[in-house]
Amino acid sequence: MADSDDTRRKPGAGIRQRLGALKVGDAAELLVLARERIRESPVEHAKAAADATRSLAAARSTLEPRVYDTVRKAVLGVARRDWTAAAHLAETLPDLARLHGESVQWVGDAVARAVQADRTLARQLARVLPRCASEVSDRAPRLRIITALSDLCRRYPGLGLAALPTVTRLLEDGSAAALASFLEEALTLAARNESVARSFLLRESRLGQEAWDAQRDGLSLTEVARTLQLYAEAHTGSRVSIRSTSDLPETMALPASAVALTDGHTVWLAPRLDRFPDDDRNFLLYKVALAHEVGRIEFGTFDLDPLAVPGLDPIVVHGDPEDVVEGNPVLVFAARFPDSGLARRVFLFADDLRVDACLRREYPGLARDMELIARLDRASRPDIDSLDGVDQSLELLARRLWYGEELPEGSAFQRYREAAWLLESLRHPSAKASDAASAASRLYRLLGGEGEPGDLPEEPVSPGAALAFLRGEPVSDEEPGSGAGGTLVELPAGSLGDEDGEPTSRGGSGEGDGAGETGSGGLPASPGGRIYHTDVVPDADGPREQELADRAERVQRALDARGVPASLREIMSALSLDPEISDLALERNLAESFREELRRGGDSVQTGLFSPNQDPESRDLKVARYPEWDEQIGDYRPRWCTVWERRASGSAGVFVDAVLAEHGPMVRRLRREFQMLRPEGIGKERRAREGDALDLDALVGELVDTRLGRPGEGRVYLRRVRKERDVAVAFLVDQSASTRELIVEGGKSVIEVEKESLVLLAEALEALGDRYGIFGFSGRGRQMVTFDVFKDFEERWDDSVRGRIGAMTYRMENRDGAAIRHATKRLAELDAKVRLLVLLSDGKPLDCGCDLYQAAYAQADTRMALREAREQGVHPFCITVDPSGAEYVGAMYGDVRYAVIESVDQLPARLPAIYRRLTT
Amino acid sequence: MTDPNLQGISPWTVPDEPYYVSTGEEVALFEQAAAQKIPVLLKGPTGCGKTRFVSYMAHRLGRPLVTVACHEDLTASDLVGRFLFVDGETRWVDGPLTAAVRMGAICYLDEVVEARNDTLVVIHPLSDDRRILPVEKRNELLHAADGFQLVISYNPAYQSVMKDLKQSTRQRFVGISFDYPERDIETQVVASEGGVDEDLASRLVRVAHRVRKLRNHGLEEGVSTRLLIYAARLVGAGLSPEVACRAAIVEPLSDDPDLQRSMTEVVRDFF
Repeated sequence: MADSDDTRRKPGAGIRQRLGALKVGDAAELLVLARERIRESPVEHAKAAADATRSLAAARSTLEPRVYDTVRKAVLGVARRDWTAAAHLAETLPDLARLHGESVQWVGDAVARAVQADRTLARQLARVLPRCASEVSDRAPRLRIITALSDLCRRYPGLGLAALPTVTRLLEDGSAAALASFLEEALTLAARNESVARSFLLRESRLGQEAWDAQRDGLSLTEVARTLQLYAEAHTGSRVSIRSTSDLPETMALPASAVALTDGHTVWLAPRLDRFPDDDRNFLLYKVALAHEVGRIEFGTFDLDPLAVPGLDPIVVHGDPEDVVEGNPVLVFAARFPDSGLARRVFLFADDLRVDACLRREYPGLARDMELIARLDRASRPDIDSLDGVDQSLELLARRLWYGEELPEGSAFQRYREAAWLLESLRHPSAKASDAASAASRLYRLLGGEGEPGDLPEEPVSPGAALAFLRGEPVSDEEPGSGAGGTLVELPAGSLGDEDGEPTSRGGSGEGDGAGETGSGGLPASPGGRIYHTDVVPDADGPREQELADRAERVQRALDARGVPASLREIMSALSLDPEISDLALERNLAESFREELRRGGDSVQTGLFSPNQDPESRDLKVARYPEWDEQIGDYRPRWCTVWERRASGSAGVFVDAVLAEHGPMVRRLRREFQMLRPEGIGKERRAREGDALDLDALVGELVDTRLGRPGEGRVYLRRVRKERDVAVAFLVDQSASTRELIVEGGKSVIEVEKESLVLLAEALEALGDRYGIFGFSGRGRQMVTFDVFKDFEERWDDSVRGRIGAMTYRMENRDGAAIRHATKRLAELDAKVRLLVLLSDGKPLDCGCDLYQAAYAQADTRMALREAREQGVHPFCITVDPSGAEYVGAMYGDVRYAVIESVDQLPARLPAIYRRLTT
Repeated sequence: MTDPNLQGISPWTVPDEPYYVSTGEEVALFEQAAAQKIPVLLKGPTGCGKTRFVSYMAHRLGRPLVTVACHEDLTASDLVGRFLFVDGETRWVDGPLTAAVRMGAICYLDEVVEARNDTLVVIHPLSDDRRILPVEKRNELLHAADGFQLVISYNPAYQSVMKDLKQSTRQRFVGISFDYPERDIETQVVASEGGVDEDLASRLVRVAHRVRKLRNHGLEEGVSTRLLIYAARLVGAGLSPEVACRAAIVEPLSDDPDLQRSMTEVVRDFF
């Protein structure tokens, strides 16, 4: 405990020495703070020491003496410098020692070295490293990971601190060898540039993402998500969104082996599949699992009317179904039973038989893929003897029904045989979700739910009879229902065993029995289902959206309390600053609140976000994401910025009228000048090979030539050529807060002059006929770049557009890169020969939102955005009113691609002239 | 002799009955329009049978058929005719429209919106009760022969806002809308035209129904019946269904690798 005594004395002495040089007030404050520290610290140390001792004592009784000794040495080695880190280590190290004793010393050394660099880091490392190392069963990659993390923490403490929290997740996500290589690559990068390595490790840079994806075994969902999405849409014709199961709230407690889940609208797929050694078959597993979930949607599982299930004994109805009737029908059905978990399970068990049969009938090719997966499924079935109760019963039935295995002999299993005959009928073409529900209710009771199992057929019956039985109709041997005329689907069993000798062990060919180590890959199918038969879930976003709504309300209340007119914008930026919400949820939720706001008619007009008197539909909010260029790491940050495009709100067109009145003569002159730019329509090409009329001069020449015996060329026609001026231009106005500055005391503000110039130019362009759009951008933070449409390309220069221009005002920050990318995208969509992007700016790109977008970083990104624009055939041009703009604008736009307007009041006259010069 | 004026009408006739399965009232409508001398506008997605329908009707009515594929650079004289300078002298050559007017043929302007509006004005006097074609260069006024019938077609699906028929043109026609045939009829068409059995045809049609759902989700347009027939023929010629569908469905529809892969998987589901 000598260490803790030291810490008590040293800081105290140091402070006393330094206090002399300070002002009295500051000194007093410092003293108070220091006292707190001094008081706190020994307690903390003592507690940590006690914890460490306790953990070590516990470890002593369970570990071999020799192994225990290494653990004790490692802990004490760290304790010499920091007791808290030692306590963490004492807690985590014994587990590692039990599994891989030889790694204990490595880990101990690593933490001890880290303590020298940084205590916080060492504490983290003590928590993470042993856990991480115990997960890795192979010695070689384990040592590589320990070494790499140790090096990282010792040489680049900052990097280590940032990387540690993600390491465990990476290990869940990929193999140990992959993690080792990934860390080693990061170390190499760090030697050159630490911030590159940082983005790499956090996979914020494209390089990092790609490196990680390449390192890992198996197929990641992101690689194939779009293909699967389109596949699902082709089958259902509607929007089925594909998401990763990692998006689901943790409270949902999913089976770790779940490949796919659905709530009837969204299908959640495992973020990565590595059950097969090759990606083709991993993809196939994705596809079959997805096809099954989509099949549930396609073949009516979610059309089940849970209140009208034939043969469902009213005695088992539990509670009032009206309570839950709004929800997912499968869950509503299950809620009718006292043990709703069991009910849901048996329903899905029964319904999966039906859905699989439907899929096999409708998609013969898919049936073949399902066979392939079935082999994997069969090999990974749980051991019957390891199961009990319902699990065992369902597993027995599953093997009977899916693979044709016989149920055990004996009267005890007679009822299962009977149930199997009944369930078999669900493969009939006329079977519906309600039949599955009806069968499920019998199965529920058979497996021990409340109520009597009721009658079951006593001998094998025809599917028709079994279905009639389920529906409570009189039993006859005729084909039931809609008479689709199909026959029972053959059990896949026959085709399974005798396929050409592919081993049925997990992982298929070539992987042998090194199985159990790659994360979820080794987990068996859940009892009673196949590997792609997983659960249905309630709407997973419900709770999260509720939470978001609550948060929004809290922010709103806080703003109300401050007496500030609460604008949705402020709430949004408050929300977007909260790192807990995933980007996706935020994005969707904001889109929702925008729409909700529109339905309600908008908030106060001053905020300028919404105008109550506009047609809500016409504001079409669109959301797009763009990458951002990070010069420091020399790489893009993918999907970094979110651009919100919406129609700007308007006011009465007084502003425009005033401008036109003030600049009447100039407007008339501009219109005349621009009219003269107009091409005269049709031109003539002389001496053409073909045409509508003869070119007399050429004809005479030709005749002369022929008479002289020279060969004629036949170019004697006049051809009419349409001359077109096919120009599309986007004006992008920087609406940052700095534009509110007045150009002279008591005069107009920058943005007002910019508006004025736009009005004049618009009048001129109307005379010329070029397509033009007027957009403004602002925002705060990378998640909220607003892109307001004042006039879209195809819109007419009418009163509502003029009203919007009139209402244009300054906003927040300007993140030029994202706005340029969005404007480029809008321009590139147009069919025009010449595409022009004119940026009206008043200063450097700058966004002081939660992440700093400024100085060199912002300019590099803007330059990159402009380069992308040029690559897409868009010509950017910048007009800045910042007199010192030449320095940086030139660097971003290139020498001839910008104009500096020294005095803002010249802008109205200069802008049309510049435009004319650009386009002639 | 390259002068179509001198070739007679035999090159323009449709001697063998083209295969066509009627899906509604279009045959009766067309017959009545022809009898009443009313021009017809056909609309529908590409490859759904518009052109086939026209040649079927030409055969059925026993009239010659002159087809013009319209494009942006099509001029009025491309339609009406022009003087060509041949062997030191100028010679008049009828354009397809003039030829049709003279011989009383069905004149079919395919993808008519591709032509510029100022070009299309020449069909105006032919498409009302005057039924005349002024040939200004020859100072000649042609009256259309009895059998002359004007038919235009366009695809409403992929036209950009920049290309649209003017109302003054549209309102001279009666319109018949086409779409891909019903599942059963399309199966019959694919089986018959592709020379394959009903089962294969039905699988192809089911693939098509899935792929057509991707329209607006990434595909500009669904797969046409024509492409299905090509796929069927390739299979009939001995290629595997997957190869045939890749060539006839996946590749023509999109260059997007994700879309291609999902279509390939849809195809795989059926074969």
